[in-house]
Amino acid sequence: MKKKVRCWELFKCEKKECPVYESRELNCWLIPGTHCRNEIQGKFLEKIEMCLDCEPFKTNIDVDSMGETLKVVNEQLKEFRRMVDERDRELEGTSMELALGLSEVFEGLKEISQGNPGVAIPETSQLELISKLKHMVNMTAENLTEIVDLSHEFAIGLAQHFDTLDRVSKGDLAARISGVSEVELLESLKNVTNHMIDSVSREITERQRAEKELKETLGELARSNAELEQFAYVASHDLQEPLRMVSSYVQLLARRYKSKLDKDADEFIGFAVDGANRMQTLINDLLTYSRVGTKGKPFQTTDCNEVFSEALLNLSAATEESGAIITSDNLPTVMTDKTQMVQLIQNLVANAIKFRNKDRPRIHVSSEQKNSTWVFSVSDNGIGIDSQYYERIFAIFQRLHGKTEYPGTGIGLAVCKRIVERHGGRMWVDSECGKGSRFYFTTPVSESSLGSPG
Amino acid sequence: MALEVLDTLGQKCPQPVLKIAVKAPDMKPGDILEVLGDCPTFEKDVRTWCERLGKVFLSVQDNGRKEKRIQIQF
Repeated sequence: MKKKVRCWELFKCEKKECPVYESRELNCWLIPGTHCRNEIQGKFLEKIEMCLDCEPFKTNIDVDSMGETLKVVNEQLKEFRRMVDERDRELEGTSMELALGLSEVFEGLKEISQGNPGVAIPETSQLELISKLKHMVNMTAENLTEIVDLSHEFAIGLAQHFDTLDRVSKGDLAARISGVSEVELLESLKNVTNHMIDSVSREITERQRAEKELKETLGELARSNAELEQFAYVASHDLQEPLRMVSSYVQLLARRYKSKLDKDADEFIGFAVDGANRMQTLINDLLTYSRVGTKGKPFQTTDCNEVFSEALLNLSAATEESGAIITSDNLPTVMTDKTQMVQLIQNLVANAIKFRNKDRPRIHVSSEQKNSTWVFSVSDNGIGIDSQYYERIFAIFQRLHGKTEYPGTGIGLAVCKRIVERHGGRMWVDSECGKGSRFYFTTPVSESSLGSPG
Repeated sequence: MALEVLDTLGQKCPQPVLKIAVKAPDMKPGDILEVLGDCPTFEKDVRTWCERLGKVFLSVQDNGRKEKRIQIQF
C-alpha cells in the first residue's frame, strides 16, 4: 500500500483558508473550493484535468475513494445533464418564438408588398429583437397607410375636379366641386376652381342674356325695317296717282293760262310745276330705294365682267360726253342679283363721272379676294370727299352740293349701300379732297367660285 | 344604355380610380361601366369615388382569385 501524501506538506502550502488545509482531508480532489495553484477551484469534474496530473490524486486514489469519486462524478454529471436539458428547453422556446415572430413579420411584409398597407401585427414577443422588428413593420404599414390614404385623397379629388370641369365644359354651369378634404392643397384647389366656375358662369349667363337681347333687338329692327320698307313703298306708290293729278293740272294751267294772268301768277305756276316735278323725282327715287329690299330677285351665279360691260353700255352717253376712261380688272363670278349688281356698279361709275374735276375722268373697277370675301373698289380722279362726310354720303337724300352745281336727289349711294347690305356685304369710302375717291364694297365668295376670279 | 368594360387588372391604387375618372366623360346618364381590378383597396376606392361623384355603385362580384368585377351606373 502506497504511503498517502499530504498536499499541504508536498506543496509546502500555507493557505489556511483552503478547506483541505483546514480539514486535513486527503481526498482533496473531491473537495470543492480548494486553493490549488493560487486559484479557488470548483468541483471535481471542473478541476479534473489539473487533478489527473497532480501527485496527491495519483497517490491517494484508491478503491475506497474511487467509489466515492464515482459517486461525486455521477452527481456532477447529473447536474450537467439537468443544466443541458434546461438550456435545451430554453433554446427550443427561443427558436419557436423566433420562427413564429418571423412568420408574422413575413406575412405583414407580404401584405404590404402586395399593396395592402392596412396591416397591424401584435407587437408582443419574449424576444426583444422580434418585438422591435414587429414594431418596425407596423410603423412602416402605418406610414405607408398615410401615404396611400393621401394618394387616394388626391386621386379622388382629381377625379372630382375632372368630372366637374367636364360637366361645365358641356354646359352644366351649376356643376361645383363639393365635399371637404383634409388636404389643404385640395381644399384651396376646390375653392379656386369653384370661384373660377362662378366667374365663368356669370360671364356666360351675362353673354347669353346679352345675345338674347341682341337677337330680340335685331328681330325688332328687322320687323320695323320691313314695315318701313313696306310703308315707303306703299306711300311712294300711292302718292304717284294724286301727284300725277296735281302735276297734270298744274301743267295744264301753265299751258292754258301762261301770259293770260299777271306776272306773279306765271311765276307761281312755274314754282308749282317745278315742285311737282321734283316731288315726282323724289317719289321715284324712294320707290327705287324701297324696291331694293322688296323687289329683289334671287341670287344667281353672275360674271361681274358682264355686269361691268352692261353698266358701261347704260352709261355710254355720259361717258362720251365727259370723255371718261373707264377700265376694270378681270372681275370674279359671284352669287348676286344681277340687275342690282349692274345698278350698283352703274351708280358708282356714274357718280365718278358726275363728280369729276377739270381733268379727264379716269375710273377703274377692281376686285381682290380676302379670305371668304371679295372686296370690289371703284376709284376715280374726281373732286373727292372730306372725311367728315364719309358716313353721311350713304344716307338717303343727303347731298353735299347745291342742286345747280351737281344735279340729283342724293339717292344713288343710299341705293348702293342697300344693295350691298342685301348681298351680305358692307360699303365704305376712302377719299381725299381734290385728288379722287375710292368706293369699296364686299360680297361673300360663292362656294363654286372659291379662289378663282372670272 | 351602353355597357362598357374597363380592365385595371394588375394596376395598383389609385390607378384604377384615375382610369375610371378619365373614362367617365364618355359615359352617358344610365350607361354602365364594368371595371375589373385586383388591387387590395380596389372596392373601397371605387365605393369612395361613386359616393363623392354621385354615381351608383351597382354591384361587386368576387371571383375568389382576388379579382373583383364592379358595375357602376352613371
